[in-house]
Amino acid sequence: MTETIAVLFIFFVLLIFGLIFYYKYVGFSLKEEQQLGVERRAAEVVTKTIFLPEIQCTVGNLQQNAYCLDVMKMNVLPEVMSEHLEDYYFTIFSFATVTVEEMYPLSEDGKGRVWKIYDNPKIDFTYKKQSSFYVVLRDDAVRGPFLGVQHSFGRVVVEVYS
Amino acid sequence: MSGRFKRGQMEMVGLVVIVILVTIAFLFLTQFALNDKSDHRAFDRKQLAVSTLTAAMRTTVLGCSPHETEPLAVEQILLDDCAENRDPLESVYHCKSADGTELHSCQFLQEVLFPELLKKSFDPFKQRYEFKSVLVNDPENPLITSGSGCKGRDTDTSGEFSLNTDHGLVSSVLLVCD
Repeated sequence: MTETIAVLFIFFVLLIFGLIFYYKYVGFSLKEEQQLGVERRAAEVVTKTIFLPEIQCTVGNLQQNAYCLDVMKMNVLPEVMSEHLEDYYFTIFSFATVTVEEMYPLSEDGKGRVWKIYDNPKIDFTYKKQSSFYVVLRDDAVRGPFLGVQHSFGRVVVEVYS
Repeated sequence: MSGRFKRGQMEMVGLVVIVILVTIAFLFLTQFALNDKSDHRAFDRKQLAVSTLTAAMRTTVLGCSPHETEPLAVEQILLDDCAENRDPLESVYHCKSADGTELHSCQFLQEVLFPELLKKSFDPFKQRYEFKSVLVNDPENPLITSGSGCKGRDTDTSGEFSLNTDHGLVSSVLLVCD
């Protein structure tokens, strides 16, 4: 009788430990799932930025190549975006910040140009994810005597919030 | 007395079985959780490798003689020149290093451009990488190599970037690993 009680006691202790572990694991995996969702959204926003027709490199009406953004278009984009932030661009990017940075070549002071493409951060966010992607930045304003166009090495930095 | 002892032993065996089952369940759950995460990371890494090499190959360089003011494409002009004129004295294009020294196109790509672009891309994420550009008909003597290597690590590749030159096909690959 005493042994049975002892075994049952140990069994229930193990069961309680198991349940505590299970609830902790469920809570942790829910949090992970939420973070994974934000990470997926970050990847989506990066892809949408790279393929955004407003800033993509084109030759005539044709897309020039993937991973290429047009500097001249990026210079005027904030003006266009500010006019249609709520009614159009929010449905594409939601709460996010999208920045394009020039990494090579740099100016003489060691700094590259920076374009803030979209800036709509969530104030009371619980989780933030930053994601980067590398692109080439076509600048038609810099042309050589043989009509070669400057292409800088740059990166798209995306921050999404939940 | 002997019967009670036997029953006690059997209960202990039952307890051990329960502990083993709980341990197996725990290990199974842990393994499942870890596998799920690594798949997601591998996808990110693959995209990073492809985008970085695509952008690096299309970048242009200014200040290379004999056309200092002409933006020269890394892959189409400098890598092509490097593959066709490997002799240190024969290079058509010479680009300046940070201290102003004029370098052969191969030397410039190997010592200046690729280390700078790839370090800037991967060092902030503490990610290891390996870049290699080879003439397909002479794979033992790579044109350009860069990075700390990915041997024996979980690796993703950009895939092969091919360039047709007068000296044969040039294949460039960027590996990214943890």
